[in-house]
Amino acid sequence: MRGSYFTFGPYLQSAGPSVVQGAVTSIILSILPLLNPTPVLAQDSRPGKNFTDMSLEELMSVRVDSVYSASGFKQKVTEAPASVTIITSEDIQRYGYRTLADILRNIPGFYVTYDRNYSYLGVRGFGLPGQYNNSIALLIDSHRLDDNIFDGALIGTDFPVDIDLIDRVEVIRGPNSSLYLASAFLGVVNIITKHGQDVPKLSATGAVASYGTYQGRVTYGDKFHNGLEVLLSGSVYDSHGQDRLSFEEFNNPATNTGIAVNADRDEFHRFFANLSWGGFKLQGVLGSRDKGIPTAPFGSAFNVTDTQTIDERDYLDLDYERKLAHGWSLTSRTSLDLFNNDGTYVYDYSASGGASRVLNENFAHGKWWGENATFSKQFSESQRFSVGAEFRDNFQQDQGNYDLQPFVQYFKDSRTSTVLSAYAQDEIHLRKNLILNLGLRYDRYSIFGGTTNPRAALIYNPRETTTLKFLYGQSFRAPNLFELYYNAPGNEANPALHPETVRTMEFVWEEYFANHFRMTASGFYYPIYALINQQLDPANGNAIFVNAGSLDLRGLEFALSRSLPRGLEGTVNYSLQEATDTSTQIPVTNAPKHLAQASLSVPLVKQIVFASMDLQYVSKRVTLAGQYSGAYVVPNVTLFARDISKRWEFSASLYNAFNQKYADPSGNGLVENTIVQDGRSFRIKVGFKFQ
Amino acid sequence: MPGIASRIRRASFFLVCWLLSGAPQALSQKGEGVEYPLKLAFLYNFTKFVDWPPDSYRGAGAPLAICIVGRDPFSPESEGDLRTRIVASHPVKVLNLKSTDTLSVCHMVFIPATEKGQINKIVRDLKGSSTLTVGETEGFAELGGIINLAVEENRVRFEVNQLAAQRAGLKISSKLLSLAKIVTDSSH
Repeated sequence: MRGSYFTFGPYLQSAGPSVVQGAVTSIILSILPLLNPTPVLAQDSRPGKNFTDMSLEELMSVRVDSVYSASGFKQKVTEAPASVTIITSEDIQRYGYRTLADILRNIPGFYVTYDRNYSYLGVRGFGLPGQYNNSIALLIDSHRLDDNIFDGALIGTDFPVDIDLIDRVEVIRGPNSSLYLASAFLGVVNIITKHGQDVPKLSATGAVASYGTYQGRVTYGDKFHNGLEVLLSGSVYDSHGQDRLSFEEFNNPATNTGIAVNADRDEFHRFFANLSWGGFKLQGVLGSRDKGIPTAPFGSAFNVTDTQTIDERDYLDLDYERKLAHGWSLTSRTSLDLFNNDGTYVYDYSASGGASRVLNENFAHGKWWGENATFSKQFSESQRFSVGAEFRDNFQQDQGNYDLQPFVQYFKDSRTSTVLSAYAQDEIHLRKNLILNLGLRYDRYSIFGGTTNPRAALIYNPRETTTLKFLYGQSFRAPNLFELYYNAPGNEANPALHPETVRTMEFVWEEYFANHFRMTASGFYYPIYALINQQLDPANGNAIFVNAGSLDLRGLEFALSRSLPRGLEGTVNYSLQEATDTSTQIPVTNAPKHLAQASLSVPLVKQIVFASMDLQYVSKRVTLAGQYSGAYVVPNVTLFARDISKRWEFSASLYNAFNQKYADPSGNGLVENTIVQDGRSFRIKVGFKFQ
Repeated sequence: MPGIASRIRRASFFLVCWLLSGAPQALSQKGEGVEYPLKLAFLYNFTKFVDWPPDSYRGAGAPLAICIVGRDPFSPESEGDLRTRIVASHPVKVLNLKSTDTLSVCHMVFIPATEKGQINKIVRDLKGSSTLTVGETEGFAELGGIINLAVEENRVRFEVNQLAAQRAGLKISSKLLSLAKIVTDSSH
């Protein structure tokens, strides 16, 4: 992860849209007759049918008009949950998602930008090049994944947990959860992993995909008589990547006419362990990815195969849950984390009289341990209260940059720091259909001092099928160590950076129609002040992070979904979003005005074979150079079958099914204006249960 | 890229049509007679989120017994559907039992509202056995029952008495707990 690179050529956007659009329309048209809902519904409305196949959540949403038994609570069971989108392991299988990025690009208001090394999540028009997903709290079973140098979160092939081990992904959009991270004003992504009982005792999967990609996983899971539950899993991935990638900006004879050959490889290995016993849970995560970089970042040589980064993310996390006296409960979390980012860049110094091939090493090494304790209590009727504290001790935060041979040290920086936080949340039922949710978080950074951020939500249910939410919050993002101190050639440290602050205002309207039909509409306004952004120092052309004015994010989101008990489901999302730089009026980079997503999953054979399609539309985006990357539509299609002879599972996917040519805006440190994305590609995946 | 947005709109339009096409029918759906088929589906669903100790089964493929005490409110059709199901290699068996002394063979015991007079005796008799007791009477969970189903604002909700589950040696998954209202024994 060095430098924020992210940037490209107008020639790429000349895709044949008519082919794509026509095909998308025709695929939907051809599927429609298959979907004639009448027969399905006819069975649906016969009481008793299909209930058995529904999930608990679905069952809880079924309306019971006539009550025959004399049952009922004095109190409400659950009050309007937060605006959460949940993606289950079932969705992951049906839609053939390969990475966390694949999942997240289908969330309303989310889009993903890829620079052929890292994947960057944009949310609600906020996806500035150079931000490593800093404004999202990415959690694995509530363990924070952000590192202590970039405060970044990895969502591509560098995400350290195998996607098959995900039980579900809970995405809480907006500022509605400051329990985790002060800077997470765009949302919280919590990945809930599987446990020993959720998987077969011994199972394996293998996959083959385009660009010479091979992948395998072996998983063991069990629960013993003494209550110990174990899941152990290991995965490997090896992708040759694209043979030839074309970059317009390098189109001259000295740089192979802009073709990078065999420079796109991607490899990872991962190990995962989940152990639980009584109130204790121990999780171990180990992931390391090695990515070849074809884009010649930071002025390194073009068309070489040795420019790469290795990202390693490991942690051990011990959780303890316990009921205390007087209705209180305690959750404690102790963890030890490691993040190593090692980049190797091939430079050609011959123009300045040096060697024609010098390896430059760039590293960011972080280690930290943390403790988090939350006490909560449900007061009988109308109140739920939580209070907690978190401590994070960053005992290693090292960055450096040097040439290997001849050895030249350009930059080395070693630091330690601590963050101490305290938070409280109170949910008060003002009336039967009116909830006030208050939150307060205090963070004390050893580098900056303290900051306090409040949050309030009012949730109103005028009718039982209608929920209205008014959300207000303040949020704060401290500059990370990379932004503060990175000082390799071409960059400049800026220890005077101060935190960026955000106010968030949001309105949400959720409506449930009958059993299987849901609509969500929301509007938001997020002014961001003292925005931390990378710029070029006019004095020397060095990249430097500065507090650069303010930014307004505003927009509307609309989502419609329907899911029938027999497995047929569809969603349509549309977001209109506008990011404005209120201080300079310069167009905000990588901020699409329109986003649309659609998905459709059709059971071909009941609960066994599914055909599914998802598609994303992203409108044009301004690049750093002030040009545009074109709009695109990318549909992906997956055929998935399970329980074949009880032991086999099979899926075949076509990604970017109509071979749309498109490119994402790149970031600083790259010559390219935009970065070309993959065309049509496939994956075949087979799973087997041994027992 | 002119036109792409309009094509998307068109494609989305069809999807929206499909989404909306079911709404009127679904809205007109009557809830009559839905309650018990629905509650039976809850019982079935609970089996997936509750761990019985291995010794509560006679063998690897031994049945998982769901017992209904007294007057059976469920229809033979929906019970028949349940009997075709398999939960973690255990075929589901549905039994209708009158007397409390045979309940120890059950993994789950459902006590309908009509049998609420028996709650105390059943809960007492089943103490120490790994039986998931499910009721549909107010105060059931506070009396030591493990799960209580209730209809609230025209939706079926449930309460879980975690302490009672622990006493019975049953592990209830956090997923189930996250959807439940947690209650404890009422102090006597």
